[in-house]
Amino acid sequence: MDVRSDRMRVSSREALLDEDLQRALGKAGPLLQSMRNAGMASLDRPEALRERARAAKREAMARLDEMLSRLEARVQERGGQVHWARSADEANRIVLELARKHGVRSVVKGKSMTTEEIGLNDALSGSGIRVSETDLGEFIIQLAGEPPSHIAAPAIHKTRQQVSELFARLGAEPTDSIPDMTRFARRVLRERFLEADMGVTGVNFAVASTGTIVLFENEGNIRLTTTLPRIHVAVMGMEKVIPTLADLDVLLRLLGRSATGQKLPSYVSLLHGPRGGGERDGPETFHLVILDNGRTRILGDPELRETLHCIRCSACLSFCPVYLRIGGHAYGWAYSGPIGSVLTPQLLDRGKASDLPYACTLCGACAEVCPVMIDLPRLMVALRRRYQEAPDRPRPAVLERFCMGLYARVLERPALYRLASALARIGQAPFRRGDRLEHFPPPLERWTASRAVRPFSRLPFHARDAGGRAQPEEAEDGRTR
Amino acid sequence: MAARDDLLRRIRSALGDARGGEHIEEPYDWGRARSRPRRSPADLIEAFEKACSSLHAEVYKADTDEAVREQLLDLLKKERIRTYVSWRCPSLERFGIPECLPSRGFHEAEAGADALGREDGSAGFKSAAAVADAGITGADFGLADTGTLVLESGPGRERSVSLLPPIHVAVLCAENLLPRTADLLAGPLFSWNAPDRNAACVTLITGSSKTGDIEMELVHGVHGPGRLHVILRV
Repeated sequence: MDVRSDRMRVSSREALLDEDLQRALGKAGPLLQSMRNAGMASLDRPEALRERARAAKREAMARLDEMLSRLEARVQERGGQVHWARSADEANRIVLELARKHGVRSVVKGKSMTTEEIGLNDALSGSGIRVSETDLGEFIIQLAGEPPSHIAAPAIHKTRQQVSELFARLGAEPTDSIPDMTRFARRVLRERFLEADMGVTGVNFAVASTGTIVLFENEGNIRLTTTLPRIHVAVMGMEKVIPTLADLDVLLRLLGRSATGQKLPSYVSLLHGPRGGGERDGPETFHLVILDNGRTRILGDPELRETLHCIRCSACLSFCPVYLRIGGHAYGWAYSGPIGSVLTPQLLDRGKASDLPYACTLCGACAEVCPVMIDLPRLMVALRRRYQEAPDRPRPAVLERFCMGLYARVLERPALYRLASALARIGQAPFRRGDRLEHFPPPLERWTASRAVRPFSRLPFHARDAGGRAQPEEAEDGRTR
Repeated sequence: MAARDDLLRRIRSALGDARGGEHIEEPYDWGRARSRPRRSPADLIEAFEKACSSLHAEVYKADTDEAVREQLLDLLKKERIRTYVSWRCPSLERFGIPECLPSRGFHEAEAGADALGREDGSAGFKSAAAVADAGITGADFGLADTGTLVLESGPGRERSVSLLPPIHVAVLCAENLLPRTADLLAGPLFSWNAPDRNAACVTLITGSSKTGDIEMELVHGVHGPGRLHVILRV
């Protein structure tokens, strides 16, 4: 897919002005958060489970070569074929070659961010093969010609009117009824499932000890994709491998809860190769494509390695105050939200996505909800630091350098700091509007243009006692902050 | 093979000295994950029913083999089913299913030509399942805490039966109720040391097919069955 991550500033501004998007995100955020919280609350010891999940991913990464070799052997024992792809191009060529060899004319797909990442749809349709996304959300955005805007709910930004208009192109009667639209999609896609020669899915987990390919879903489209066509191709990022079924149990209990609060989604498929002897459905051949595409580079970077622990649950998106304002498209690629902000710049050429790690307030909500405890804010800071230390980084403006230099000097000297803040408390009066400062004069106007700047408190923090309260002689001042 | 070896070499060099450093010595404590103390059958049944009630899945208890059959016939009549597809396996045959159905006015869906006009055997079954009003399966296990059905694929145990028709009826024996996923993965179905014995497809079904993809409004039956009925032989 096209990479548009270098336009983040522009697309964020556009997103903020998009009323439909703001309404959709405003509704989705609180809903997803309460579902996730309720789901996690149904666990005995959620923190212990998160720790265990992190340990499972760490172990898998630390012995990744062994894990993948074992997975390969197990899949082969069950009659599956395993392909290795160093890059997106190589992965696409493998799938195309399989399609050609088996005379494939149409492909149905289950939702997969990995195939979005490598741009598989374009590669297939470029060779004259019909590709149908079958997850309802993906189906909608494929019709709209857009990329997904959320890992778990790709069409979260679309209103029912917009969906109705898109479906009208396929001959649907205009309607306001979401159940009617859903029935229409079922009918259209059911035909495509029955005709398709090849089904392509991602992989949620691949269990090394048993060769089990695990797929999660609510709709049933992934089951149809892996049941009806004669060929099933599963494309997995190599970090999806986990050691054992015990690890799977831990992650099964966390993934659904983190995404939508479900203890388990409607369907979990545990697949072992093609259909067995005497079976009348299921694929005749099964292919697993194991993808690197930049992942070994991340693996080789101890500071950033935990980026690879992500299980794509989307909890970090649901809780991110930035994502919930700008939506997924502003991130410009397959992965959005906090995980997108750290993963995209590492998978792509840095210059194409260097704004992403800055689209973060470092509030820490994502790290608190991550089921595998990825310290996302730490990763954002690490990436920012690298950009600042890079020899080719653009030099900041003279004014910025001057102000930051001055700020550093003042912070180093307590007396100067006290003097400066005393002056600031007096000097801020003309700019004060209620509990914020607005409209600084040039050349500082840009600082207040897009920020809600809080006034300096009449009682500074260092003048308070250890309990955070005002000291006795100033206790009458109600405006402590 | 070049890509494979290259990729594994890249991984080993990326890990360097840190390779293997995170190995977890202690095996996962299945004992803790599995429910403890052992729960009574009545408790498991109650938990299963409770979980299903919030999942858009109906549970009907039947205390004899006869009652299972009557319950099924009743259900099919109530749902105005005319054609069905069914598993043919010992766990259903013991109740006389699906043999009892034709004489009561229900017809097995006919395998016709598929959409492309092919009429080989494999296309036949899925085209039959695609036109059936209901699919009838057994369930190898149930997971009480989540209201989950566990279905193994195999000869006479087609995946399409629980997937293509708009209504899915499953017959589950209460003696096969397990508390949760850990009891399933650690236990009876999966074998890590003999992975060739695992079924080609094991499906965990928890409630009916659903989506919230348009404005987060919950709709059932988007791709799979919108209605799920479980007959529980207690």
